[in-house]
Amino acid sequence: MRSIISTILKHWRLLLLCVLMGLFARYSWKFPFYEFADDVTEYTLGIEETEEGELGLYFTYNNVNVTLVLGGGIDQSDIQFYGLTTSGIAVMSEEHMSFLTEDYTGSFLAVSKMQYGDYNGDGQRDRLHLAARTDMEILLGNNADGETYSADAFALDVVLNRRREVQIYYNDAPLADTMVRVTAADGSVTDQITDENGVLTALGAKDAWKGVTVAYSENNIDFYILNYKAEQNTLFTLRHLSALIPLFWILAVSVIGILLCMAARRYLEQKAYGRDYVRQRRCGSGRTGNPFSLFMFVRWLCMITAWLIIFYGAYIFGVWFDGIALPVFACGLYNENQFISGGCYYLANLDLLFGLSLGEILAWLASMLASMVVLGRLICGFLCPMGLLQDVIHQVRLGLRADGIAMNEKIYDGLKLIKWTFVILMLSLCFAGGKFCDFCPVQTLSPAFSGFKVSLYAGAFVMVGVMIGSFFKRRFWCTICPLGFLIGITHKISPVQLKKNCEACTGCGACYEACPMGIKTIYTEREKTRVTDWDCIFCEECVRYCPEDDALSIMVFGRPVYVSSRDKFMLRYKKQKRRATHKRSSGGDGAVPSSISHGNRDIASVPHQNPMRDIYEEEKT
Amino acid sequence: MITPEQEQAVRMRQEERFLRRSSHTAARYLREIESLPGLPKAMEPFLNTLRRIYVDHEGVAADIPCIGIYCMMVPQELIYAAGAMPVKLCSGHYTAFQIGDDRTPRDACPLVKAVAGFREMKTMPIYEDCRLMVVPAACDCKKKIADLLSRESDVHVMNLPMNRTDDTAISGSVTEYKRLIRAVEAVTGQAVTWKRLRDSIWLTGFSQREMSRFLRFKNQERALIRGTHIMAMMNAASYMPQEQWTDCLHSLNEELSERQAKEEYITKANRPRIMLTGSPIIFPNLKLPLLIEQMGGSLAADETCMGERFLYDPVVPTDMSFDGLLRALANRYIRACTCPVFSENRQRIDRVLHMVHRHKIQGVVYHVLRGCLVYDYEFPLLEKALEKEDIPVIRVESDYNEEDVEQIRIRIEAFIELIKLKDLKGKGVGNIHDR
Repeated sequence: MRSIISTILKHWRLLLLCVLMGLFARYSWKFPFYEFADDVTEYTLGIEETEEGELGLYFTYNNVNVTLVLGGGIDQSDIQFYGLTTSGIAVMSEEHMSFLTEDYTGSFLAVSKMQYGDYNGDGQRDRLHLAARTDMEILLGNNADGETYSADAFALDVVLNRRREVQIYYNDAPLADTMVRVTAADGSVTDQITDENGVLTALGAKDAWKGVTVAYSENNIDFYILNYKAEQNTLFTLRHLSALIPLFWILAVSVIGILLCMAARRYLEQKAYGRDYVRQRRCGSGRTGNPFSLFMFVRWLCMITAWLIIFYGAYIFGVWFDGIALPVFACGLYNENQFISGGCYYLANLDLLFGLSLGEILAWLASMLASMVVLGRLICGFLCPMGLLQDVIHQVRLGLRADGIAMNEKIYDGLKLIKWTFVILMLSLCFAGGKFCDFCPVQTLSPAFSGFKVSLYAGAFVMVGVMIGSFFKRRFWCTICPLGFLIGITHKISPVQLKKNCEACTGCGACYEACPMGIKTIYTEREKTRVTDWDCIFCEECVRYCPEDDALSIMVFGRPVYVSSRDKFMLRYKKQKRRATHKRSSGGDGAVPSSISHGNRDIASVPHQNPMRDIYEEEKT
Repeated sequence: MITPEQEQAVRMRQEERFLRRSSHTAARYLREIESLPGLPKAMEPFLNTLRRIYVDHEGVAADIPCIGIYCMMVPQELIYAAGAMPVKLCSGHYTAFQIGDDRTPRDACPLVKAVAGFREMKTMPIYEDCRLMVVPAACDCKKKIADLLSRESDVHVMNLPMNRTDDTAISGSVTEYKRLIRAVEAVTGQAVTWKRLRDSIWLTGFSQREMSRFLRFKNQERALIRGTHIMAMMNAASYMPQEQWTDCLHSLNEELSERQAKEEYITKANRPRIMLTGSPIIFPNLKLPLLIEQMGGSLAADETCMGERFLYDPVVPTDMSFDGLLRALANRYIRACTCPVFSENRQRIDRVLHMVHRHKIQGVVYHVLRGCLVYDYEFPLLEKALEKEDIPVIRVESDYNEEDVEQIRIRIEAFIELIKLKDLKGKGVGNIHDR
């Protein structure tokens, strides 16, 4: 009890900061950083008639210009145009086309008058019911389902369900176990059978993005043909880049913050030591001369690949495994283009987790636990996009030759308190009426890079702090990351282990100095061989900087993967070309005013008395 | 009534006698070192350096000012960076010891007595050339010798943190190094810039790279080079510019690799492999290593501050800022230091055990200089640790004189016989020591 009180008294400033942080998080949405208008007002609709091509109609996207293309001579007046609004289905008219009002949710259906033609090639005249449907990215994030448009508008409905399966509805019910004719965007025609839920298993999100035509007929006379296209939020378009605007602002504020910190530091240093001192002591190159390390190379490769997969996986593969989760901070809700969703979302919204079905909860829990046990904080070092961002910022600092912050136990102790605050906030804020996602700095990163416009609140301010912090201290966020802390719990049974040979350790403390997580036991430990700490992110810095043979090694399933080696360490020291000789210059760079020097005694004036100079030779003979 | 002239004449005679005797001792030990079979040709520059310093009484052959340092906690990189050459002034001289005996308390260690003796005589160029002496506040004797030295020359006392595992030790050392930098800069007129510091760390780093290559040659059952020669070589490092020493070591490495290729081992496989640890062994006080090798042992490793340890631990700069480099120096010179002046020194026991395993050591000779309490404190700990490994250890207490040579010889001989016997019978024999 007394120790708790004394701790509180000792760290009262920090505790106050933690309480303020809690309040900040609780009312995070009251601190807007950048708010997007989350609607379709920027889109324009257009209709284009063309005589060419086959009979049919479909939507095309050109950035924010959506065009309904009428092929084969369908007249504009034959078209019934529907749009989905917050208050139900609305019929679109000319004046709606030029600009869309806020209440449109981003789904449009165009139905043509009945046309005649021979669709199935049996020589008879078929009745063709043509329609085109499109869902914008905005809607896809919310709820795209087949019951949006009732059968009154058009009997057949196609929808991209949960961004991975194409589902067919007929007369407001899923079209189960039925053959439909599918025409892909490249013109290939296949007959496919839907499964019991009306899902075309052969089709994926990629097909829906390109546009797919589904034809179905009950009686071989009435053919319902629907062209469906889901808007693909293509990268590097205006829309995608505009999603990055808040991130640019965060970056700008961070850069200003970093510059201010550097200027303040420089001012204080100049005041304390003088202008010359600061100039002479300025770091010339941040490079430590580390020899190439394969492990390091693989780590960077993993991080970049993971960044691409976690952020753009759905683009690349067209598949989204939303049932399972990886314990990384990567916005499971806001970024719909993830390959595997970040487990952080349900962890931060436990009340929503309990609302899921048992199967979903189990799948989530099992995937989280499995990756925790198998990988542990290896995820932080190898997969986490936030980790890559911080490592890049660190490299920028080295490139700029700016000095970092010298860390010590005291600072790490303080950070530990902040980390605990984050853990408590993450797990409990949903029950206290708050929203952790709005406070989470990663929210600024993952959706923005994937092109989702997510308004930013307190999290953006936290992100500015994290960016400034990780500029001066490597992997700053990792030291306070609540999720990282939680997934480190399983390190005791994780197959990846850090091993220390205490006998070979000279206790030079280089590992502790190099460790971005400030793990001290790796240096102080002198008994056990297992030194894997909860905080270890397996960044291998300690092994790389360890100058002793076999003193530190990273083991995977008990097999050494990366072992410290003196020979490898020593490779950084190459023969110097220039000798650091004494240069007696006055006034120039690196000279100390001669008035300070004292006690000079000329070496030459000291008599070298060798009366017995040749005694050695004498004695020898 | 003694006139000043008479006094001066007495003094002159005294100095002459001192120089003659000290040259004599040094020359004799050099001869003994040379007479050990298997001396590599590339050893010559090292022995020549010792000869120049101790027999010819010349100064350090450097065109830059010299700064005297004691112990191994003074970062020589800082001194090189300031454009000066560090000269290690810890002394092992018998003649100076006798002079210094009068100026220091009876129980002071002989090393300090020898330093005091040289200071008293003022005839040794390496002492006289030093513009500044940097004395770390290591053991009690070093603390007091700083005061003694400061009466006649500029002395900078460097504080050492005793709580090494604590982070304040490193930040404190960085402050201490900044103080040292100011003191050295005032002497040389050369500012320690980032670039100079980085270069000097790289310079020492390269010699440590050569050193680690050299140490690989020692990992064999049969020796390529004698331990006594290594000790002489490491002693010479104190008086040679780093670069020159590295070059000489490089040619020695070349010679050794040639020997290895031709399998020209200088000892037989059955020679008892002995390790020497404990108080510093400084030229010319090489009687212990010499005795070990003369009595048929093979000095396979040493863990002494004027031996391998001097240049073993490298500086590991993980952050390249100026303060980052200073922290790296502090880590190397404070945390990695195995000197027993630090309260908690478990790493030294581990280090010895590691060397025992790596060099397949069969017996350990623990050298304690009379009055060197810190090393004596650690003997029981090491003895206990070695007992577990079934390695016999002998504690040899000696002084800077040759009166005890015969006595030590008998003990070393017996110790070697014991190892041989143990080796022969293949069973453990209890530890022996003189308590």
